[in-house]
Amino acid sequence: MNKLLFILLTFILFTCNKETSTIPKVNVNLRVIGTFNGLPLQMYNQNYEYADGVKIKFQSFNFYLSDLYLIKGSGSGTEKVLLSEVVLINFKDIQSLSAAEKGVELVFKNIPIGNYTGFQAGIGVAPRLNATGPASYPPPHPLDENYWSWAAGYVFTKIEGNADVDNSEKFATKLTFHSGGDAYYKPVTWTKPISISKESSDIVLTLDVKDIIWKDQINYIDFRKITTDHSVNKDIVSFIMTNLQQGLKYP
Amino acid sequence: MHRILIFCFFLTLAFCLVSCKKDPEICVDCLDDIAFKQAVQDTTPYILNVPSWLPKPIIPSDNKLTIKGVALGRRLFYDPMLSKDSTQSCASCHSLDKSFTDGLPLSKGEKGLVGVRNSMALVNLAYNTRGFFWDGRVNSLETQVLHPIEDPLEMNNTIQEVELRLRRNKMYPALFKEVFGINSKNEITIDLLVKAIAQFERTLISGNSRYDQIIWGQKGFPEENEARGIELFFIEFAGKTNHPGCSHCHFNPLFTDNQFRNNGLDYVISLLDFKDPGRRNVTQNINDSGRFRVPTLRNITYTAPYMHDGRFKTLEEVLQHYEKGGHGVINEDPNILPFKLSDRDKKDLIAFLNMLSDTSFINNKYFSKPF
Repeated sequence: MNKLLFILLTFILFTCNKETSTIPKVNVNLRVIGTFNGLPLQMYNQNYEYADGVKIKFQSFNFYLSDLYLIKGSGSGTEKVLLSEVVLINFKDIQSLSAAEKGVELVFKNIPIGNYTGFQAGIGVAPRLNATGPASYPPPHPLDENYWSWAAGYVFTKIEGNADVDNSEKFATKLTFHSGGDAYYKPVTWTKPISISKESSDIVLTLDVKDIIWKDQINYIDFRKITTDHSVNKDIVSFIMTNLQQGLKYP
Repeated sequence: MHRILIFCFFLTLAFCLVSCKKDPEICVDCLDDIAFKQAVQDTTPYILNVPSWLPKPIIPSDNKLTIKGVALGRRLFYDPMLSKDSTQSCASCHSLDKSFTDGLPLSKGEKGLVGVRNSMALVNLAYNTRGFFWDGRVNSLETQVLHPIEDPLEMNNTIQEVELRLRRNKMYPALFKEVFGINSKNEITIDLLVKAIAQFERTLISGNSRYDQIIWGQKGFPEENEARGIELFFIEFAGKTNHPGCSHCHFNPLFTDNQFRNNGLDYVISLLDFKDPGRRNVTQNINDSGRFRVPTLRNITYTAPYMHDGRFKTLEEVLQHYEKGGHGVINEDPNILPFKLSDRDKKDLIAFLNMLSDTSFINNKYFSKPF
């Protein structure tokens, strides 16, 4: 009887293993395409009209996504396939129009093909990762940079550039907005059928950066009044992080 | 007279024979070399002793550290035979007591020729994945080693000459065999040389400064001025002008992010006007003009003068520069903003920077000249 049970268990384990291992896997491309007020987002080489006649140029724009999952099913039958624990979406090198149209591209390897029902990611650095530091991550790693030693955590998003506030075309006003903190981390789920197959394995997210710093005629960051914040002004951090979470779209 | 002529003839013949004999001595494939024949490859791994507060060093899979490899690399690092006239070794510009810099604004090479940039500290190189030299022109430490050998303003040598010298040398063939298991002296190549030196350079880990001992090692406390310096260095209070924001680029634990930045040293009308184009020379991207790699601040006390061209003799001068907040050049790092420090603030900030001096590093006998 014991022998029979052993054989049966071995058979079940063997067949289960066989099933999972035979699902073909592909590389999934995540592309994040940035714009500013609808125009392709380029660092350095493009001026953008902002508010009240102010023009801006970007030098750097980046943000973290944590715990990226493809979701299959719903309710109690939900399955999650991990794409990555953390990635840095970095527009630093997106300087040409062609690069801007392509966006930031990341590749996740060996993802099972299938029909998924959605995509999930945390905007920022998940608290368990935010409690670590660069010492835990031999470079190159997304978490080997953007670290605040004083705050013992990561800068979730950096917006850096220059503003022309006096219409002189000199762009003499430097802009640095560094936002982060566990309180501002938020997982977001985009529910939408995603077919991952050998023919189709792209996930494309879009983001208009103006939506992060300008909400309406009253609620926006006035670069004539404030040019820099390192998560000291909680209103600004909250404004930027909330807008980032809402602005990142899976159309 | 006839006898004299005959004597002269034989004298000349003897001289020719003697001088002609020189060549066979330069045997490049002498398997009769006992030391070479007896040498046996030894791949005993070199275990890097790294403090827990530093990341795990990056060791390439095709050049793992071995005890023999590191030892060979160390010997080669200090050997002037790598330069054309045998006067310059790597250590000529990278002296241990100066945290492997040379104390000069611009390095001097063979025949005293002055180079174009300041000698960079060789510290924690095993963590750099963003390119070596001030402009990041090479991606691997192995490739980096090659450049000074061929640079006319440094060692001014050729790969062929270095290989020939190593093969001719009485000691090196056996050492190369011990490390790389070569079968013939002809198999000594520049590729093996750079691997050995890179192995040694990856052992140059610094993480045992007074700051490390206090902050991570929980041994003792900072003095009051040091504690104020720590706060001034790390804390970024936007809107307040008394915090320089140094740790934007020089954050824990490596005190560099190895990124390329224009730190506001020079005013130029056009980005093409930088005297030294810096990173632009590598990427051909105009936005990279005047950008240089952020150096580590570990052992900064030992590495004066400062900046890519050694323009600042002291840390006080460095602070005075940053205090101005740059020149408003369009690709200047936006984090370069003006600030105002009192004299006491400056002294305290420098007291903190002095805490990053790792005496166990500059006194490490395993990093010193082995012969």
